[in-house]
Amino acid sequence: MVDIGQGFLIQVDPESLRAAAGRADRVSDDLAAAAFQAYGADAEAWQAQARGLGHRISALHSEVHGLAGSLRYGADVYEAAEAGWILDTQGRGSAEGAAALADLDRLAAQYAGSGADPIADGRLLRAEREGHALDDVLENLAAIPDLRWVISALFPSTAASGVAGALPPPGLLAAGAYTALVARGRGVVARGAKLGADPNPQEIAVEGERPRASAKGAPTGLAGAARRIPGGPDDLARVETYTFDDGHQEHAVYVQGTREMLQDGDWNVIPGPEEGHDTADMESNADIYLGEVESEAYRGVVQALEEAGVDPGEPVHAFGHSQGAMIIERIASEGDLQVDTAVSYATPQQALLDDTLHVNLAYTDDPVAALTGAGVPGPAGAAGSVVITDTFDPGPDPLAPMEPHLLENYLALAAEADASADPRLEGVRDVFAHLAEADSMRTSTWNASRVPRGDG
Amino acid sequence: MTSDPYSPTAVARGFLTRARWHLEQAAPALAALASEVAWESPAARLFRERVDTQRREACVLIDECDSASAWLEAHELRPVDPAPAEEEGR
Repeated sequence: MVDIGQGFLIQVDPESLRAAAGRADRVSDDLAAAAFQAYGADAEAWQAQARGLGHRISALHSEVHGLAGSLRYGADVYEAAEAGWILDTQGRGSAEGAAALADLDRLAAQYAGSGADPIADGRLLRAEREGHALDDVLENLAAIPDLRWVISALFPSTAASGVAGALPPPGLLAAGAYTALVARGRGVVARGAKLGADPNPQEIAVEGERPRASAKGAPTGLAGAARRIPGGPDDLARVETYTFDDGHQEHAVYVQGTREMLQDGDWNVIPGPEEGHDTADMESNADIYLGEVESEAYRGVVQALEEAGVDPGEPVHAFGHSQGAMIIERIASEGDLQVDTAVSYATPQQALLDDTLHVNLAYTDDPVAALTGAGVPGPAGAAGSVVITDTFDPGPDPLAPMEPHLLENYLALAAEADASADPRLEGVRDVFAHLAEADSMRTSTWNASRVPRGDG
Repeated sequence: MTSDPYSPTAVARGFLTRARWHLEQAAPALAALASEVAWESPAARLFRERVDTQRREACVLIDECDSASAWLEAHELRPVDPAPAEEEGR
């Protein structure tokens, strides 16, 4: 079942919880008054059926009163947990750290002597969420078939047979390697973090078509936007330019994920000459995720936006899947373009943004999406930023581990979110409604290839 | 026989009318709270269930105010006499 939250800790923003508590307070006041009156009836009508009503209304009042208290306490626990995360990740010396410390001091003073401790409960909540962030993926990886018997069958009388028996099961091996990779902490991009220059850069060629008028109009929701993410070998990115009646322009960009896993036989993750022609490969993944440098695919998308006529001051609404999502996260984080909206389907990195409406969709058992680790505890962007999650549960299919990651499966999660009445999705719904008001739209697709060394 | 507005049953009915009025404010407010909190999360679903249970309890209590009032009204038109009341209770 779809789960919408602001981050891995904060399900609902504390202010909304406090507002709900205020509404519950008003109900509670009515019930207190009703109980008072019913007790009056009790006292007068000694032989009447009214007896016991006062007690029952009073019990209901206590429940509603307790509900309001729980909502307020929940808001404080969320804030305490988020403040703890900020202190641990950004330190006391930072402005955010100092504000977090002040929040914790305020909460400590507020609850002193009350017997309740939102700071301790926040710590427990965070430990619980972080401790179980990878559970679904690790369960998924455990489904990798154990093929050690193949080695023994092929080499029954050799040492290789014994080696096979001594190897840990592949699922266990994969789970260990995966956990170690996530523990490197590359999943969250600090606010304002910049990509460095690629120490092993390669010239790229960005080719695209001339933008053409389209009658397609804006996508109507998250699923519609996901369907516009390109999937072919020659279209790394699709750019749409919307022109409004006042003449101003806004753009939507859709970036596809990794297309080429094996073009050099080593997934291109071994440092060295980047010979692969296709920039949307594992080398580009590793460049950003592990190397924190501008990959060829990243540069290709940035150049495509320039060539499509995107002015740095014009609003950009960006959508991407997998590596494409990581690229739009980083373009938004860099701040060179005015990215008003970033919608990531299965991103391995989640950037902390300020003014961008930031929406992340992730299956909890998607090994790529879970590379973010637990992720960000609260909103990772402007008001309306949310994280939309669900569990895909691919079942015992031997190819199961990557099933949740497929874009076609993210369409289902996006459609679930589109169908939801959750008011927190109003921000992203407004983006689609706004784009639909444009007078016209032009579209173009772009590709980025590495120029073989010596040809450049 | 006429109704005595100062009889214990009449006074009790007045209390019940006011209790009912407050419950009538509470029940739709609880329904509104459950629907306004339309968040998609397991905790929010539990919250809505809890609030809906409270709303149903408020509605039951409104009905009980009504039946208690009706019972009191039926007994207002005759003198309070413990004996018949006991008989009726059997």
